[in-house]
Amino acid sequence: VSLVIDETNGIRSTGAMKKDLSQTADTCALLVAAALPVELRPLIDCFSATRLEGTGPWPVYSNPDKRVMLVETGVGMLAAAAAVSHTLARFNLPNTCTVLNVGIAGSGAYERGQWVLAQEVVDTTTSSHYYLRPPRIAGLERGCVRSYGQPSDDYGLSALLDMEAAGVVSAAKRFVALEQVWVAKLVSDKSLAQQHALDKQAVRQLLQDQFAGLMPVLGEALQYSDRQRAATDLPPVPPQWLERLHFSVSHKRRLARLWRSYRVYFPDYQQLDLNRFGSAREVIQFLETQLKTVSSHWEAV
Amino acid sequence: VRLIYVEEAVREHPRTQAILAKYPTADVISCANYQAVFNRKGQNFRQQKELGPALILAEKRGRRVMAAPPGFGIGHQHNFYFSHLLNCPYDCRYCFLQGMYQSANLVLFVNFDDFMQDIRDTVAQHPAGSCIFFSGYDGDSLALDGLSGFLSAFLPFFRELSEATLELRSKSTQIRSLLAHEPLPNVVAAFSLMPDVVARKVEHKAPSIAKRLAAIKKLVTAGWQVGIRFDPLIQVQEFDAEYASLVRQLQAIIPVQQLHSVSVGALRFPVKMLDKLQRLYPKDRLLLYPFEQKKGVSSYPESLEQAMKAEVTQLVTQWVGADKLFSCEVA
Repeated sequence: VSLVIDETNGIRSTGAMKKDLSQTADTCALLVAAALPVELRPLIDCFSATRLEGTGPWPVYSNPDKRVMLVETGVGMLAAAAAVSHTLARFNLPNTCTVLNVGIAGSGAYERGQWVLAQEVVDTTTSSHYYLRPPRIAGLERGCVRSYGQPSDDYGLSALLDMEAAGVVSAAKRFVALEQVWVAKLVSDKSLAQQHALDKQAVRQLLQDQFAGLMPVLGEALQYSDRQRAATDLPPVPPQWLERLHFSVSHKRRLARLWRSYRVYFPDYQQLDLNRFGSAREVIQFLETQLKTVSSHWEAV
Repeated sequence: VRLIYVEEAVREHPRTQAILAKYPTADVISCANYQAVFNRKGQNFRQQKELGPALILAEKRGRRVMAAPPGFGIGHQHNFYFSHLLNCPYDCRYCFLQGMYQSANLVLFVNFDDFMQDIRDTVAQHPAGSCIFFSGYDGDSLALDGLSGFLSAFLPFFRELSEATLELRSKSTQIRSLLAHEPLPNVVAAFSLMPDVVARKVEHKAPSIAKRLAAIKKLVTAGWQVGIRFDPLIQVQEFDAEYASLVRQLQAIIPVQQLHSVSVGALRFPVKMLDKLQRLYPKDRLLLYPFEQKKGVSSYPESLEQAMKAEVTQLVTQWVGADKLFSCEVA
C-alpha cells in the first residue's frame, strides 16, 4: 500500500486493490455496464473493444486506447454494483469518467424499442432514490427506472422496470460524481406476455434495430467526461519528490496545498528541475518563496 | 428552469402550482423530502452549475428564523436571517455556498406564511426597532423574485411590521417588484459591489457592475433606501484607484440621505471550505491564491487585508461619514 497525493482526493492510501497498476486505464472516459452478453455485444462491436485478460470475476473489455471500457455485470443489483466497483477500482479509472448503465427494461408507459434516460432511479428493495442529471437529447425520453430484486410485472407504473440500474448508480457514485452516472434503458416489453417471450435472439434483434438511438448518448458521455477532465486535470505532486525526499504527514499536506497553487500561478512549472532540492524543507521553502511573489497580479492571465 | 423537483407536501400549494404553470415544459419529479435531492452526498456543485441548476420546491420545517453570526450586522441590536431560498443562480467563485452545500440546485421554500409567522414571533420577543432580518444570507434575495413572488408577499408584510427592518441583499437587477411598490422606510435594498475588473473575473453569470449601478439608480429615483456591500474585498492591481472610481460612481447616483449603510468585509474562507473549493475548481486563480492560514481561516496576509479595508473605509467615510459604515467580520 502506498500513498498517493492527487487532485481530487488529497492524500489517500491506495489500498491493496490498486497495488497492481499495470492495467491502469487513466485515459478512460466512459465505462459502460450491461448485465448480459447480448446487451453488451453491440457496444463491444461499436467500439471495436476486446476482452482484457486477467480481469477477475467479470469480463471487462476496452477499446485499443482504453478510452472506453465495458463490463458485463451479470443480472441483479448486487452483481451490477460489485462489477462496477471492481472495474472502477481495479483499473484505477479516473474520477472524470462517465459511467453508463445500458440495458433492456420493461414498461407499460413507453413504446417498445424506445430509449429512455433515467432522471430518477429507485432501488425498490431499500426504497433508496437516486436523482440523476442525464443529457437532454432530442428524441430521447427521460423518466424513472425502478430496480427490482426479481423480474417485475408492475407494468401499470409510469416507470421503467429493471434489475440493475440502482446497483450501478449506488456503486458508481462512490467513485465519480452523481452527475457522471447515466442510465439508458431500451424498452423491451410492455406486458408479462412480452416479457416471457423475450429470448436472447429477440433482445439481440431489438438492440440491433434500435442501437442508433443510443449513439448520441455515447457521444455525449465521452464529451462530458472530456469536459470534466479539462476542468480538473492537473499534474499531481511530482512523484520524484515523494520517492526521493522524506516528507512528514504535515509536510505532505502543506506540499499538496502549495503545489496546487504553484502549478496554476507558474505555468512553466514543467521546466522546474525537480532534482535540485536536497530535502523536503527546501521544496516547501522554494514553493512558498515563489508564491509570495503572487500578489496583486493574481488576476493576470 | 428545465428540471423541477417538488416535495410531495407542497405539491398542491398555490405557490407551487403557480410556479409549475410558468414552466410547462420543465421535467417535474416528485420527492418525499427535498433533502433527499439537495443533501445527498456525491453531487458535484461545479457540474450542477454547468448543467444549469434544477429548482426544488419544498416546505421549510423547523427553525425558519436564525440569529445572524456575530459580526454580521448594520447597526441593529438584534440580527436575524431567514432563508426562503437556498443557493443562487449566479456562480461567484468566492461564494461560501459552493463550499457549504452538496448541491447547486436552487431550493425555494414556498411556505412564506410560516416564515412570516416566525418573523412576527421573533419581533414580538424584542424591543421595537431593534430587529433586522436579512433575507439574502443563503441566497440572492432578488434573483428569483420573478419566479418566487417573494417581494409581492414580503413587502406588504413588512409594511405592516414597521418596527422591524428587512434587508434584501442581491446582485440582481430584478427590481420590478420593488419599483411597483411604494418605498418602505424599513426595507433596505442592498447590493454587493466590487470593481468591474474583478467582478468580470469572479462573479460569473451575475449582472455586470454597470447594470447593478443602473438598478440602484432606478431604486433611489423611486425613493428606496439602498445599502452598499463591499464584501468581499478582493485584491486587484490599482486597488485604490479602482475602488475610488467605484465610490465616485456611487456618489453620483445615490443621495446620502438614501444611503442606508455601507458594509465592508474581507475575503475569508474556513480552511476546510477553501480546500473543498480548490478541489472543485483546481484551476481557479482566486481560490488558488496563496492565502495565509490563521486560526482555521484562510485569508489575505493581515497587512494586506488591513490596507484594503483601510483604503475602502477612508473612501466611504469621506463620502458618507463613519455612522453608516459597518465592518463585516464573518469568516
